[in-house]
Amino acid sequence: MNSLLTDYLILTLATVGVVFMLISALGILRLPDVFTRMHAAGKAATLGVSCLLLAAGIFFGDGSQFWRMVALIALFFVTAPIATTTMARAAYRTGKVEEFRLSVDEMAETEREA
Amino acid sequence: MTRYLIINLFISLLWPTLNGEYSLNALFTGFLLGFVVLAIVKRSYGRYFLHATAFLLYVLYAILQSNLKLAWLVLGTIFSPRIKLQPGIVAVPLTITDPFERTLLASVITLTPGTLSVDLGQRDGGDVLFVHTVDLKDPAAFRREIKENFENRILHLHRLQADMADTGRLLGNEERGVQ
Repeated sequence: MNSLLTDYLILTLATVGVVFMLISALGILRLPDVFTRMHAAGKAATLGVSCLLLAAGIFFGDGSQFWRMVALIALFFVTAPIATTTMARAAYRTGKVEEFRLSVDEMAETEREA
Repeated sequence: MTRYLIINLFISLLWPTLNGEYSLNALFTGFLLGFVVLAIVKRSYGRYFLHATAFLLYVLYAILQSNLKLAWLVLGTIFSPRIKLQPGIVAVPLTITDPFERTLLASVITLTPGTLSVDLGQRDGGDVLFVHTVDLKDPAAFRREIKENFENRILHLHRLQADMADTGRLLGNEERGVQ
């Protein structure tokens, strides 16, 4: 009974993870500009990867693997947003404003004033 | 803060040693017991820890929410390509000054509902954080939302931490700087 329950848990986690990865990939294809794509790449992927890692951790059973996965997830959550922010900033500084689909851009206003 | 965490970790090492049972579970139990003991001796430590945990849970919840929202958005653009998105970059004024807390705020913003921090900058003489958002309806409301949801929570944690440093009566001399 217990193992059946864990099986279902693993299945659910893996499915959710894969679905979020898929949505993230679709988002990168379909969304209009760099920033919105970055949303897809930076966030859906975070949750997708954590779900997959958790599923793997439970699948390989014993404590050490599970905690290794938890550590990986924690590291991922610390590094992913910083990477995303850095890329967004690089994109903003090197790209042309006309390429971005922005209805409001207070950053450009500020830089013009400066 | 760090000192109490270290004491707490020592207590969590002590527990398995006294029990003669070396496992992760025992270590965890030890940590929990150490936390309870420390929280009784030092109220502000307990409060800080609980509030930090609550903040963490809130962030996890927000991440989940953000992903569902984003999934909805992406599916929306696939099934009805005419959908109108209004992305925008908004300057959010910062009250937080501590570099670590700013990093925390920027990271949390990047991880949560439809928002992405882009850069730090100056505007009207104060520091601001430029935040990109997928669907912007009202910049002022958006600014307020960010401040209420995240910055105030981090500020609250900051105050609790300051509390802990100030009221060091119970653990004696080391608190007052006597070596």
